[in-house]
Amino acid sequence: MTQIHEAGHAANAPSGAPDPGQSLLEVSNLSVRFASVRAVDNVGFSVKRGETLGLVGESGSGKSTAGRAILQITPPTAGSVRFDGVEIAGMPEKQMRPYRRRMQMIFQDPRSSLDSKMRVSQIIGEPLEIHHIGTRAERRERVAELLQLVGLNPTVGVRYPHQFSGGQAQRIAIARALALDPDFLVADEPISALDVSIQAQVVNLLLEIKQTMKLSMIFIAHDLAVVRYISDKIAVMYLGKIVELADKTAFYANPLHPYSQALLSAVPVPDPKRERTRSRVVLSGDMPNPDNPPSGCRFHTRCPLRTMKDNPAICAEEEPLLTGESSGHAVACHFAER
Amino acid sequence: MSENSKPLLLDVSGLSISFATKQGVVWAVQNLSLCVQQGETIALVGESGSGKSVAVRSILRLLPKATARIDSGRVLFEGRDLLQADEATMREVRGNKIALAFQDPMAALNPVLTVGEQIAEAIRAHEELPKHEVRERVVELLTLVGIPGAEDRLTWYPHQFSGGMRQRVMIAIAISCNPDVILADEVTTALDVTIQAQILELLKDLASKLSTAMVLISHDLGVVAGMAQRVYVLYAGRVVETATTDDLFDHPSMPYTWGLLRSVPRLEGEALDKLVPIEGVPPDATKSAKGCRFQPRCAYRRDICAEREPDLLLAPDTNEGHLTRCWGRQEVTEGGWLLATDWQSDLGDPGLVKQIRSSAAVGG
Repeated sequence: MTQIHEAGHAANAPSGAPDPGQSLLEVSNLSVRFASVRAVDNVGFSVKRGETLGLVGESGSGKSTAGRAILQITPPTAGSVRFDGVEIAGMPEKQMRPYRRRMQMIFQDPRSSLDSKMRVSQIIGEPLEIHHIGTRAERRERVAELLQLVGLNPTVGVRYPHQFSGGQAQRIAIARALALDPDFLVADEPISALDVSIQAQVVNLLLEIKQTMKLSMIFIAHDLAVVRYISDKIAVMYLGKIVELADKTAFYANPLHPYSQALLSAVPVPDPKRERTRSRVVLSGDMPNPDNPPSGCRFHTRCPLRTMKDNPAICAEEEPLLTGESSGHAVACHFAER
Repeated sequence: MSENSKPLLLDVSGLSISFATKQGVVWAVQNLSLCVQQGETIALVGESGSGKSVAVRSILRLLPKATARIDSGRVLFEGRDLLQADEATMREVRGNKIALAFQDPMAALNPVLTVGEQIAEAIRAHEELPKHEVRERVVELLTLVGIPGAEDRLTWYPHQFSGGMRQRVMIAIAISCNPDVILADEVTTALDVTIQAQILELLKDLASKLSTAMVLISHDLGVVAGMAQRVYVLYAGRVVETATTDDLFDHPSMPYTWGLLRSVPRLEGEALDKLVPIEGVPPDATKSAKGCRFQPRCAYRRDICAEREPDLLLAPDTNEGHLTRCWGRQEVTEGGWLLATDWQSDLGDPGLVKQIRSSAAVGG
């Protein structure tokens, strides 16, 4: 990227030794409470440099809250978030600023996340301005470069967000998020609001950017199909807890948690013959109210494995721990078989 | 398109609909034809702006009178053209014979009435029954759509239900008068995947139990594959391909359908390593263009595609009733260059892909 960035980085943000295998982000025992609701409850994982974690769950699982708590947009109630070796949980805003530059977020609805009264070039250049990076001419050049990076022609900078389709607006939001040359990106359901044919464009764009910019990423999604294409690691959340955490290959080859299995089985397959013959795990009932989660294992009220095992008492009494992380495939279930 | 002997229930032909907007005339649906047999489920697949919702709403004449215009076509139901029917007939048809379920149940349900009252209202609109029988029927319906403790939940308001449960309530209203056809417009789109699976199971179950025909509108090819017997693929207000579901997925016949199939993320099978998107931007319905509407995004296009719009014709190498709107797939003088194309390996002309990308880069 341009030089102004390199300089900016060195001056503002303390940066750890560039060891490629090292974790850029380490989250442990992270909890977020809203009044009595434990939206995120004791969650932990790490993301290495250049790695993408797919964080998957349904509404109410706490996946978005977790993403926001990591970026300190929503303050965590407890736990630790180490970014590049430095604890940022609860860090005062002023000290946090250099880290904010290095951690960016993109959202589901690109149209509502872009200021409709600003021109595209202003939207993308704004973070540079806020952080006093470069001269006006340098910033202009950088905006043009960013537009190109996300597959848009620099000439579109004079237009307003409403003049673009949803997919293009998401490209603009991505360009803005990349303006400060971040190391880490949280993408919160960035394709859910887009048309099918456009979703693949944006997924491929993110894959490309991740590689060229060596970005680490948390990709938040509500189903397991799309994260397969973009993630190195998968974490499945249910009612504020991670129930399974594994390398992508291991996860898709052998999902261990009954909830993960149900999520996989719920994804409709675009093949009529498979759809007719495959046996589907249809979960009964709704996600329980996060205000008053079930005792023991939070999934036990809907768990098909527990039913199969004749409702053992332990599921309702004792919370299963997430174990087996050292093997690269962790699961929180009393009865999951490896 | 008479594939078997089941009687035709709904026969839409040559339907064209336009809207007057500030940006000019929007050509929402162009010359659309489809039919539904008794007890059959058909699916309309398309992206936003493809005209699928407009087409389905026009069947019940629910389009805004001030802006929508039906330019041509007819909607035959029980031998009558609904587009010409009087308001009294339409009231009889709506809900009673043909019911509509939407994507957003919160917008469709009245927030200040209990669900019991709302379902009862739907029943009473078409049938005169004593109070206790209405109540019995309401409980029966709620139980049928899988709402546990139906007796107690009659007095609940919509906001007291979860999204999935609200969708079940709406389906209960839709089936309350034993309609012949249910029009289901993206009914699972707003739901979580596990809840979507529940609702799809429910619809499938109801369709077979009550032998109700269904017109399923979806943007998700996966949903369609598991539900429908016939699929219509829509693009920019036109049917671009239609076939039986098996035939469509086994032998998709034109580049837009190919593109849709290639861009669906897959969980299993010989999934491609990378998604292959359809390049370019969605069509602008306010701009009329000559030629094929998909050609600006088509990596297989030739000169003829921009000049004249292809008709929807029988696909030569596939089964009966498989129609395709594509010059490359038609045995005509200048056409037919895609007849031997293997869509899974041949992704089109890379030069064209580049060209489409760069013209999309200057904005929509």
